[in-house]
Amino acid sequence: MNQERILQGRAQAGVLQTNKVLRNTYMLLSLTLLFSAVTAGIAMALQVGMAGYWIAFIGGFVTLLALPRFANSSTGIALVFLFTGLLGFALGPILNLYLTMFTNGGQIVMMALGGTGVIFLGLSGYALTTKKDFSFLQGFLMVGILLAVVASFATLFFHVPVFSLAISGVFVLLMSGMILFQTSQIIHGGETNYIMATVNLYVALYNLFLSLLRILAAFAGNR
Amino acid sequence: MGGSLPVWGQVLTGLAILLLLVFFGPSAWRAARESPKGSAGDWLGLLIPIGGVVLFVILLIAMARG
Repeated sequence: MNQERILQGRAQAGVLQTNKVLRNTYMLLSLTLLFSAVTAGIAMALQVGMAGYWIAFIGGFVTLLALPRFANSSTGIALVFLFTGLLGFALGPILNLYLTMFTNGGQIVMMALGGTGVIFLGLSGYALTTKKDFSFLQGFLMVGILLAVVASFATLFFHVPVFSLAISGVFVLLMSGMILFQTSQIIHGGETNYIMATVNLYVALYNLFLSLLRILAAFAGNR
Repeated sequence: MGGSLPVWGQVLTGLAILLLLVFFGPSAWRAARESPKGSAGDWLGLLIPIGGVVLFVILLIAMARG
């Protein structure tokens, strides 16, 4: 009888812990997305060029590498905001490019933004309601994302638009898998650190948005 | 080869690819080997949400083309 109560208590504590991680992750993710939007707006208003993009992007990448060391302290939260702020700032020049390059650039940007939101809500809702365990995706996603990043760097050498577009399509699929995997990890207790969960989801959303932007511009952009 | 990328850009890009493979390659391969393997049912279960995403992107493109 006592043992049963202890087991019930442990199960309840596990559920409470999972709900806490989930709530904190979504709260921090919302705040960082808003912060990114603000820094992207600032970069757009200042008409920051590609040099500014590279500085912010490399700064963001360095911050990302440092993040796991501080994920269990309050410094981690400051670093998440620094990271997302820098990546948001790096978005500014890209968005300006799309807005000036295409007559329907504004529509494309808004559709990519809305599409990212719908995909994120749909996939998170699917993982949360079905409670399926997507941990089997871990290895596949790590290798897949690494190869896709290497391939996207390679497009800088070989200017083949179809290849670049195909990589964007692959990124949409990989980032969708990442959202399912990360949400499932939180639900099943595989991820207990909301700072790292936020960073992983943010990176997935960021790449998803950029990939949708490229795909929509390729198929529906009017020059 | 190289497109419009200047020589220094090509060197930096090549270096970035090399660094990515050296730093993240081993951990990615290890994760692929050691992470739990999904059953056929697991992979089939993945088809529903991923298929939904593909259809949604096609719908988005159709809407954007108007």
